[in-house]
Amino acid sequence: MIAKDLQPFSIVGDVGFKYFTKTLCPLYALPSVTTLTRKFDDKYVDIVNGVKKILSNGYVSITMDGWTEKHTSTNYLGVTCHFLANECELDSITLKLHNITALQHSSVNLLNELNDICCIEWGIKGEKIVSITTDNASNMVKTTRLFGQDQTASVRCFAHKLNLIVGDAFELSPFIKPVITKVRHIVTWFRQTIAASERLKNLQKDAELQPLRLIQDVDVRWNSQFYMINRFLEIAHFVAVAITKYKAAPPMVTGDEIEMLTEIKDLLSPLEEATKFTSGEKSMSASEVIPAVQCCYKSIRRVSVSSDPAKKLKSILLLQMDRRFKEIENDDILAKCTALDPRFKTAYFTSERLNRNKLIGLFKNGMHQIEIDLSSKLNSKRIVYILHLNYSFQTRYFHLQLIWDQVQVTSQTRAMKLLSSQQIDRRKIIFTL
Amino acid sequence: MDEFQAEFNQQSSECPTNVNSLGKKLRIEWDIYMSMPLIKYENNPFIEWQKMKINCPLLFEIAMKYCVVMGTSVPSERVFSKTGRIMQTRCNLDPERLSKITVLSSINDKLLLNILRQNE
Repeated sequence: MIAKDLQPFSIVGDVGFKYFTKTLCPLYALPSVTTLTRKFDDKYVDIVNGVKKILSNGYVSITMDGWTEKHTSTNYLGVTCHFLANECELDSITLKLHNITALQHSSVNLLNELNDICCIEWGIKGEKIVSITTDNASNMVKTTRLFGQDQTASVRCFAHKLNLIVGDAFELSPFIKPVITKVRHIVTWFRQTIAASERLKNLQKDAELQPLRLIQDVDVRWNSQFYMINRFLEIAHFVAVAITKYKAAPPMVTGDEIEMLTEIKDLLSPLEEATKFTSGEKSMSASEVIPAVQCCYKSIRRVSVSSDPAKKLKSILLLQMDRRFKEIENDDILAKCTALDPRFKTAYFTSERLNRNKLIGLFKNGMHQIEIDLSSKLNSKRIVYILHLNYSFQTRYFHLQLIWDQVQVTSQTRAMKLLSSQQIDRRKIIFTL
Repeated sequence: MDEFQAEFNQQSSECPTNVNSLGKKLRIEWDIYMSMPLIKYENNPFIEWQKMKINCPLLFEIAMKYCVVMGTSVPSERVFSKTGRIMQTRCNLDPERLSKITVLSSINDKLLLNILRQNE
């Protein structure tokens, strides 16, 4: 309960909880806070050891990010780990929430921390980590490069990239800012003025609609700006009615501006969707990046805009996307992920470079690593497995060959009978078939 | 006889069963993989791979390696929003313990139960 429901340890002293346990099980004596804390620490070690065993079975990937906690203004480094649970499902756990001081942000320090967390604390071998996903901050990227060397790829967060694209696009289109600021003023005013927001609610109720509140945006994320605009447009009609009653109210946006906002919203919505699309934790998410980029291009191009500012924004957005995503198909790891996802394969590749030979070359490199990993574990079970792999592989292709080329095979089998003494291996395969 | 032998040797060198090089094996598997239709977006790619495992054992291994890669660092950010909620009410919590709580709360219920059962 401490871990899952995030209840404080002091729950054992709470009157309600005491009464609850007493009713449930009158003879049970609740542990004291100190005992509970000690037990918690013991249990933690047990569970971590259990998870370690599971993690050591296969490949994992890691994401990490920095964060500043507002209340105590401490910096944290969050590290999560993703692995295959049962061949049909991805699972993820948090490895550590590490408290770092401001001085420790250099890549060398982060590298040491990462090493401590992954390799020492959780016993994950470096070569088992396929990739590390971070934001675009240079210290993070450098850390992953240093950590990974050849084995571990560094992936840059797609959501952060989208965030930067929209941020830069807004920066480059100053004509949009005044309108958004106007909307923000209105939203802030409504949130501060109780009478006005009450009126807004009643107006919506009168129209027999589920009352919606205006959403305030947060500086960091463009998503929140998008949601603010979206909600504002949804109930703009009611806002306009409500606002006219008050003298002190900020000026309402004009019809022109509403049209412009709608078009901005239409332009941004593909990007918003792409963010949601790739943010899944339980599904393959790296394979979705390239398809998501292509879909963004397509749907942004498809949006028809009439107002001048929106037209400008559209071209700026596309330019920014070109800047950030031009090389995305040259990112070997993302290309591999997409190609090996049976939902996409090569359908979304546009670059000539990713042809059959190139992809096979990429797989070959990946395979090389796997074979080294397998053979480095020199236990008999693994060796049998490799043999089995090659064996079933050969018979399977022979079988396919049979189907593909009947004539050849008949001539081969005839030849086989004649020259059986020289082709013992082949005979074995034929018999097993 | 000699003619047969010559023909057969040629045939067998071309036949995929005798292919030993990794690149060639992968090329064949890739062609098989590509000859199958794309599955729908809603479908689980892992289940599809289980079906394909028998035809493309090498590609399967590679796919199982790369399927864990994450495209975004959103998972880490989710951890922060969760921790943020804890810290709002319990700001005196020792960072070490805070980390332990977040780690434990992130473990999937099924997995947690399994581990606890094994330990008992």
